[in-house]
Amino acid sequence: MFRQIFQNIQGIELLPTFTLLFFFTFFVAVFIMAYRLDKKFINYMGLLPLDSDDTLNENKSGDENVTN
Amino acid sequence: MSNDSTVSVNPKDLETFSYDNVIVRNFAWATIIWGIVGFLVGLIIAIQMFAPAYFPFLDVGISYLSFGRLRPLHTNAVIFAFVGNAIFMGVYYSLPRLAKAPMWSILLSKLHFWGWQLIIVSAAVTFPLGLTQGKEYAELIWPIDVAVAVVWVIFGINMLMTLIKRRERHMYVAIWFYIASWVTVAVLHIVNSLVIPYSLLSSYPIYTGVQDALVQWWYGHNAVAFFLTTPFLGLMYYFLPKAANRPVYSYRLSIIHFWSLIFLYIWAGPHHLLYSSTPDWVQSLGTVFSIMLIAPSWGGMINGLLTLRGVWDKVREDPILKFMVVAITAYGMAVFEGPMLSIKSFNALSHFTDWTIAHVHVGALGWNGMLTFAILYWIIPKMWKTDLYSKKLANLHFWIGFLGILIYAAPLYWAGITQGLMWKQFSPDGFLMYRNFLETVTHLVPMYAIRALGGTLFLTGAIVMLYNLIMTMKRGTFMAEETFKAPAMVSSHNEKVNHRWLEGKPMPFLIASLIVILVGGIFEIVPMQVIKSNVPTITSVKPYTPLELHGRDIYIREGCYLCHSQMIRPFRNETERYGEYSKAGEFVYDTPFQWGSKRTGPDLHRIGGKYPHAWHYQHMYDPQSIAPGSIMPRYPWLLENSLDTSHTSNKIRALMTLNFPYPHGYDNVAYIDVQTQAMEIVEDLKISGIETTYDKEIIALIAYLQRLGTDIKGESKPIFSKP
Ligand code: HEC
Repeated sequence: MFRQIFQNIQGIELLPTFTLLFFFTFFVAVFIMAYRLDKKFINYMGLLPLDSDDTLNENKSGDENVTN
Repeated sequence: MSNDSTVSVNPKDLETFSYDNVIVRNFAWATIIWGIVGFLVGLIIAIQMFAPAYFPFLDVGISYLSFGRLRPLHTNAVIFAFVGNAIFMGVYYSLPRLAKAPMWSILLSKLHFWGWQLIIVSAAVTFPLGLTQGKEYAELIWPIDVAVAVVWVIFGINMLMTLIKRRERHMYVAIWFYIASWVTVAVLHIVNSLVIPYSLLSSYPIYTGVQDALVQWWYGHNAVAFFLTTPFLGLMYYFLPKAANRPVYSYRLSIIHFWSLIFLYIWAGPHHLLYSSTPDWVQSLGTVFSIMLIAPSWGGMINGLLTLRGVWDKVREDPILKFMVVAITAYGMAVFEGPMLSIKSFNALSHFTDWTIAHVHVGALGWNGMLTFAILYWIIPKMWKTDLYSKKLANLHFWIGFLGILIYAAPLYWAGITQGLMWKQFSPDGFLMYRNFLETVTHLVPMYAIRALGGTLFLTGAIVMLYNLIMTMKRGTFMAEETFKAPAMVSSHNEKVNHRWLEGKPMPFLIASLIVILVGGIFEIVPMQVIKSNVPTITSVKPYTPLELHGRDIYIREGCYLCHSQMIRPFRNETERYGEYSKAGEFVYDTPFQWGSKRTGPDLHRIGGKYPHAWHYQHMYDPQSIAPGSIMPRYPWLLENSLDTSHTSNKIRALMTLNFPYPHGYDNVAYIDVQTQAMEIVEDLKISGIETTYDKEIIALIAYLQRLGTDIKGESKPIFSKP
């Protein structure tokens, strides 16, 4: 299948340009997605490694270290 | 703040479970021991690179200790044994704690641990014996490759099942890095290890020439990416907040960091093949993606360093944070340098020189080494419920380690640039200034000696750490298990969709990252395998004769490719020095390809016919007798050993399955041609006054060397007996 597809591409040299655009789209999508995430959720996620040693998640609130 | 992801629970609903520290301890020990072994072997080969010039008596001429056989041992020990065990140590510690669930199966954990150590031991046995596949960082022979795949799958099942059984609904970004690393390494390992075995221990890759080169460096580059980098970024995202006791600077940035990094990394492999006989479009692909890689890589570095903002006073006191800062900074330097080296004009100077070696050591010693040490200093007191035995010694380790890296890297940067310039230097009347390659080598020998000093310091630091950690263990008591309580995971219907995105689902997440890396892989690899025009055929290029093939396998066994390239780049200084530049079509019967990545010795692609047989005979016996001051090892055993011809027909048969145009049934008569061609060389040597017999290994090696690069000149007309 791939054989036909690729052999029919006239300008395989254009591949880098094409993939560049492809990545750019991907990047913008991830960027938008990341910035649309809820702030509380982001804080919660950032603190996961810190309270994973505790039994309960009680000390999640009011942490002055939280960014974003 | 009340978080809608946190559910308030009745203490009665808490489930009790415990984390297994034994597996973490075992991997920690393995990390320390194999680390020291890996550094030590590195030091030995570093000494070998200047010893022949300064201390000829150190060059004992023992095959098992030869540079070409120990170098793969060093690289594999550091990458797969030291860094590998460090990854597993960190994953087995952090994953259960982030998932709030013990590892799914203690049995699988154990199988993983012992399987991996067995693989390392078999590597340590096979490499000195010269059992290798001859592709850098993929040297393990095929049965061990199979074992690696099995153990890797065991690790993956254990990890994924732990995630499926987890109590924390959300998967922290460190886990993303673990999953993506796991799946990508699986793909890389399988694709690059596809071979046709011709004996219980040996095989030929299914790819040849340019294709093999491309698959190999797609693998090699991404082994750096998905073994040395992404798992360690996962560790950074867990252990840095732990050590600094504050969350990562920006969790949003870490999301962007993750996705753009894994997307971009997979494409950049061809930057190892700039100016080689690969098509231009492949090379541009490598350059473009490598340069873009700076952005996410630096995003990660900045995220790491900024996590420490506001606690710099702590950094000054805490050796663990110091190690981490140097690790992250070294990461930042290496990932800036990498893209620079991918720019063609830089690469023209740096490639094949020691610059590359300096570059990888900033990464390996700085990033992997220092971060591993930091984690060990953090994790051991924690599991032994005590404080570190001596902060002073840890600081001492930090400083000698840091100094060691500087003293390692600086002379090699200097050596790399100097050698690159010397190779290119023309005299005013248009001749190569340093026509004799050896001149450029002897010039660097003092730098190699200083480099070994840097390595000694780094190794000493690791030994200081070993002592410090043993004393720490002695003063504490090891907690084999840590018991915790957490609520079971509740179903999440009531959550907003964007909260749950991919990060709550291990399997879809794995598949998503698989797709992301496959896109790059497919665009890079598939066109190369299928488009004929990528490798223009040259009709005068013929397969190797059976004797030459045996010689080639000796070349691979001895690791000549670790010092010699077989790729003449299209620069005037190279064509002047070595002859016609290398064409893609010349390599169609090379499996594995032997282009090499470093020129400690000169390129050998057109060595065929350059010297008489007797020259090679003498040179292989004792290079210094012909090239005084040479740092090439002696190979006296090649003159003694009889050639193993028991696999002649198996080898030919394996290659015939790859459609090499040997006459039908040739596998049955190939042994006749081995003898005929060997006799011719023996006769020729006799004329020069050298008495030997046709069955010696050196004869096969000479046959191979004399064939190299001669096909396009139409000089070589291999004769294949009719069956
Ligand atoms: C430690 C690095 C190293 C290894 C390993 C090594 N060589 Fe060399 N080789 C050199 C250096 C340096 C020179 C240049 C000085 C000389 O001629 O000895 C050289 C030169 C040569 C030359 C002469 C090239 C010329 O154009 O004059 C040949 C042929 C050669 N090596 C073959 C081999 C073979 C075959 C092997 C493996 C069995 C091998 N080398 C392994 C470093 C190495």
